[in-house]
Amino acid sequence: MAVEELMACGLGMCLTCVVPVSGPRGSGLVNARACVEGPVFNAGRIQWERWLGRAAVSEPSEDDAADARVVAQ
Amino acid sequence: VRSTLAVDLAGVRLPTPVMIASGCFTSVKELSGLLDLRKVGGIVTRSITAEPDLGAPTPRMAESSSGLLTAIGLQNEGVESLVAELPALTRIGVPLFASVGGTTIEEFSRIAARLVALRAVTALELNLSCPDEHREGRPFASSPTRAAEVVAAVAGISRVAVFAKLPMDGADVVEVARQCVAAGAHGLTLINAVQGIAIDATSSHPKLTPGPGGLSGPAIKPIALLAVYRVAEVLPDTPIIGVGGISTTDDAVEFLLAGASAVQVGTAMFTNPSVPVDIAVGMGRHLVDYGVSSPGGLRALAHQQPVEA
Repeated sequence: MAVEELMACGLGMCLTCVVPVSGPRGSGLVNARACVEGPVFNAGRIQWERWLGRAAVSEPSEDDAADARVVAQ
Repeated sequence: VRSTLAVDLAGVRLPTPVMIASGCFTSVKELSGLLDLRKVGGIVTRSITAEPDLGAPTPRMAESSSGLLTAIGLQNEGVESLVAELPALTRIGVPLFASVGGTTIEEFSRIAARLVALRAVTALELNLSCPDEHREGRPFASSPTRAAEVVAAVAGISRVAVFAKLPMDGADVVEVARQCVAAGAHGLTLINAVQGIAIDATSSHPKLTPGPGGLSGPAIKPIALLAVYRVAEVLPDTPIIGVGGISTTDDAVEFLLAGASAVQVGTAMFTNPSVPVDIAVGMGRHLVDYGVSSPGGLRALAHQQPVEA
């Protein structure tokens, strides 16, 4: 998927547009620059909570899950 | 008059007085695609810490009138990563200043010792705006004593020139400069970004995740120029590298007139990566136009009393 982040230079110099992604071979965490390493990233590599914060990317709660089940019934 | 652009700072010879400031590149390979690095006066690395650091979460920047507010933290790959990149950096053939960061005096010393032993760096620039672990994270430079302690520790083990980079806010820059020089700094880099904050009127939150950030760009030029002017008045024999909002030849000339021996360009690189080369070319023209043989001939002229007509 393509990401957007504030960019001062767009040339890889300033490090303002970094997106936290899992490292090579899925280990650890690296800051990838949206301007030169992105803007298209494998969504599975993006560390969503770290990037956008817990509030923006909450896991479905048990209530949500229960609601889903109710709907499913 | 035959002019040269070369300048000498505490025994460090720069081919031109216009350097690339700290924080402007991650890899040499990328940077060399953006400008002819052989034509810059010198290159300062990103501030290096002992271990890799991820820096601050985004958003890391906000625009400001004539300026850029950023909070990158100390994102860098750690000293061993710089060591691995040193051959590529030295191959460029221009003076290389390693910007040293740290949260303890021991960390500054350890990095300096590692880098100096390799005999690849021309000079060290100490980022004294780093948070001091022993003083609740306040910058080393907010205490003249603590700043001088870092300088003394590094200068005591360094075989290359040591420049102390100071901010204008926090403590009286003249006093911090004086104590750093007394502690063994061979030169000074003035100034680091000016602390500021941007707040989003819609969300009511600070625009940058860490809250405060550092203001850079043309907005801070008069502040940086004053720092150079005041310190040069008190320490006329200490080489000063002026930095803060420089984006044109005239800007650079003004810093020399205020008392700097060389300048660095940072934020202007983000809109025109070849600006350090452009400024040096313009400087050459300026020297010819004014019949001055070298940039040193402009140094501190603004301090002289105007001649009565």
